[in-house]
Amino acid sequence: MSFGESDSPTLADVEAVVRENVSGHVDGDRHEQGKQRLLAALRHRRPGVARQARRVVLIAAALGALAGGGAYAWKQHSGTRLTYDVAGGLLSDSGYVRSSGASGARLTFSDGSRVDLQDGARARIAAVDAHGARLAIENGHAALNVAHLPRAAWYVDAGPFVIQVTGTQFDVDWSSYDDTLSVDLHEGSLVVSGPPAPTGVLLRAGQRLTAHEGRLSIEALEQAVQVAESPLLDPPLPEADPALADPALAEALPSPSAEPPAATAHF
Amino acid sequence: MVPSSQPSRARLVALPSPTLAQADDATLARAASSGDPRATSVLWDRFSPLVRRMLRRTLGPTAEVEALLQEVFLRALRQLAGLPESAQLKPFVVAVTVRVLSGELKRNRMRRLLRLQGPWHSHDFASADPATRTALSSLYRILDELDADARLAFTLRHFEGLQITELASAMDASLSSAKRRLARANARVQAAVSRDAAFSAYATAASLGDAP
Repeated sequence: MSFGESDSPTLADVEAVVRENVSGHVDGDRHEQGKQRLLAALRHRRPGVARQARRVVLIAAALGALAGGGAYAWKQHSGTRLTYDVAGGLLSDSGYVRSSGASGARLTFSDGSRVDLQDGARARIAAVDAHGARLAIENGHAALNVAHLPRAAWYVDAGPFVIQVTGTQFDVDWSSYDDTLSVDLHEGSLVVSGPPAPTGVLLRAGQRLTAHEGRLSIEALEQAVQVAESPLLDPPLPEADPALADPALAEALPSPSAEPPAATAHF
Repeated sequence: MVPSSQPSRARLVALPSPTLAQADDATLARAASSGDPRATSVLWDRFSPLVRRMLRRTLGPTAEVEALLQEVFLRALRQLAGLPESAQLKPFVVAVTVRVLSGELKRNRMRRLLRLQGPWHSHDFASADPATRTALSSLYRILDELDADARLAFTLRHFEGLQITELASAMDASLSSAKRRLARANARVQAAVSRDAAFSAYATAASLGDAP
């Protein structure tokens, strides 16, 4: 212990007595108990409802029957799980979906969202709640049209990626055979993160992202379609641009209407 | 596809990796704000000792700090989504802890004014030896006389070692305000410990090597 040498205690003495006797350490069991308590609290917390919003609802309910009724209706809405139908496909008890005909399968959700699985595509509905669903694309092509609603929260798993959606239109193609992800964004914007781009890449509407073998490329969707339609063209990918790993720089890419160049980044 | 009439947005985020424990702040913050329990677990492992220490050193090592610790993490997890990409987690967690502490110090002050909470006694500090317990109870009685802002400035500077700029940032105060609070607290604590016989005796014994 190192204390001041003068007769009167100093602030250094005050520091020493606290620093040497009051720590934040607890034993492993207590540390784990605290962690489990926190995780349990998070599980029981109503998703997406901020504390402020809950206060507003409570105050409104206390003020009168009308406000109370509104709060009740709001809560009812927020607690109703989405329902869905499957057309043109088979749905197993575990939520596994695959198309049964050449036209593919269509999932239609009660909030108006739709997922079209192309013929041969396989997917699984992992979870459904009041604000969205979690869909895992196991292989193949899916076109999603997610209704833009307040607090909408949708997730699409595609290999090592997760697509978090709040309302937009995009196509996802995931090949489990060669681990290739392709995302065509028709509306809104995307931030892509994952093994090839841990810091994230921002996409804009009209752009295509492709991730394959540690390489990630971004190109204008219109340009990509033109390339795909030409049987004679098989253009090499352009030089790497590591700056694309930075979402701020990726965001600065020109929009497709300004004819942006195709770009590829290695990660 | 049916075109949406409203602005829309979608995000692609990485699945939390097994190496999340080694992830940088931005990755960890993003994973935690997306509700990944593994990221929450890593956050707890990484920051709960720091937060618990701050709570104990500022309030005194009472059992109530565990409830406040939970509150700090719940608040931090709620606010993580709005954290800028470039922000570092530690200053963010410290700032959230300071806000929780500020509220608790004000409540404690009110409890003492209403006589709902008594002064510190040496038996409150069960983990230390008798002489140290006496010194700590004297010190925390002195700290109880400070207002919340001055006490926070004092504990963050002297017990946690924050620089004055870090202190100002954590307290969401200007540099000059932080300096004023710290100077006020320093003067009061210095004067009080000098007058306190128990603390003086302990400090003298410690300087002579007699303290445990």
